[in-house]
Amino acid sequence: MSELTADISGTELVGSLAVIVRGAKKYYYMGAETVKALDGIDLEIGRGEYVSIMGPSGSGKTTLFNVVGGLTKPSDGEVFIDKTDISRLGPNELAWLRCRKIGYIFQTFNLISIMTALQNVTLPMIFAGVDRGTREVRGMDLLNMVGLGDRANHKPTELSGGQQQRVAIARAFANDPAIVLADEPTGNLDLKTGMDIISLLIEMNRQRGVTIMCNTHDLKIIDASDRIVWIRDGQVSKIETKDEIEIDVGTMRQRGTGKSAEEA
Amino acid sequence: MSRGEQKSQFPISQAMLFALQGIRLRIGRMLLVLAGVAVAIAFTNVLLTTNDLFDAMGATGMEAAQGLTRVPVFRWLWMAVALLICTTGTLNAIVMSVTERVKEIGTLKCLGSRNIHIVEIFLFESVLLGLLGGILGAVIGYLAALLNFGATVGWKYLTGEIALAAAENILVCIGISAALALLASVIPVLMAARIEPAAAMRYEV
Repeated sequence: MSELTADISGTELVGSLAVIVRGAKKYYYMGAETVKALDGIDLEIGRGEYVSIMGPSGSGKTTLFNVVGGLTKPSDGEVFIDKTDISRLGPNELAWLRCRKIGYIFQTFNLISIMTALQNVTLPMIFAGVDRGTREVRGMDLLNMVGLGDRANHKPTELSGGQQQRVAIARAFANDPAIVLADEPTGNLDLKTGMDIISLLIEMNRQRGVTIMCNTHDLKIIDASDRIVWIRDGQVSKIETKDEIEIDVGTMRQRGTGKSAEEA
Repeated sequence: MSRGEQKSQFPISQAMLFALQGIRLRIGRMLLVLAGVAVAIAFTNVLLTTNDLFDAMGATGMEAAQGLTRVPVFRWLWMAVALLICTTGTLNAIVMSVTERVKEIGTLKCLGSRNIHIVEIFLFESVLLGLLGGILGAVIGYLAALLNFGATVGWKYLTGEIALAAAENILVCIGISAALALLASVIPVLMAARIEPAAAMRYEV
């Protein structure tokens, strides 16, 4: 924490951080009324960390997701993603940032209905300018990783909700993003499928060392998180680390902070 | 590690694929629009071609034509109305296509597409409708004008030469149709470009 309060006025960040949010505010003006969706959020997310954002609906979780994901610019404050200050980016640069640095997982899966599972997974790579051969190979790798290699040529309508979310997860990892943002990834799934999706996310986080920020009000996810950030009224109300959480986690996993050998 | 190009890519072929699939998913409605465009363009071409045929026939045929003179002015008004209606139809269809796909457009933007890529998709969709309707309508209109001319003025006046000269109206009409389709796509394309990537998170489908 102490090193973070040091000067980060340049674009150079402490190397171990994937995301820095400083005093982020997002106000919406509705007539005479001002809605303070974010009211001065400070947050740092380390590389390889799995952070859950918890809070009641209307607390600003989704706005935080939008701001960190480069989907909207904050009214005030700074947001750094992988050393890039997003408030300084134009629309095309933002598109590029979203393409290369950020993976998104949505509550409603958001697969492109006219495309097969494989085409959905390779779509971000098309935007990234990856050639066709590499796309297909990597796409199949990713689908195999989420256990859907045999469904590569199925359209989303031919897949179950859990399977669709798996494809969406594979898609989020397509361009090796610096951070994967998940907005209520289990919100549309039954309990068991939801658990499967969470374990898949943990696995990806531990094995690939990818940073994950997950919006949720699903307490199951607490197990998985390195830290839990509680949001209330557009502000961070408390941050808990895994050790502080007083619940029985069962078999405690070792905190995998390093990347696996093949990733290096 | 960044690739040489710092902008996200979207090959034209992909945009066309999205446009084609967009049409395919709404095929019933799109066929109606297509028919509307074809009828309006056919009507336009009947007027244009008939006019040209009369002109090409020259003084010799004028007697035969007698009362059946050139196209009166008010028909040009009809033509304008027909074209206006078909343009509105196309506009409407593409606007619906955009509004039905707000979430998808938001998702594409989240995955890295630039506004221009989204614009391309709907531009193709509109122009494709305009071109197909235009070709269909222009050919039908041309043939109808020949038939009408032969039947009313007399087949002997309908020489290959003047028929061929009037055939250029087919191209003119396809051009008009494509231009109107472009015009019709301005509003929906602007709508699509303005959709925020955060629209991907809307709950309604």
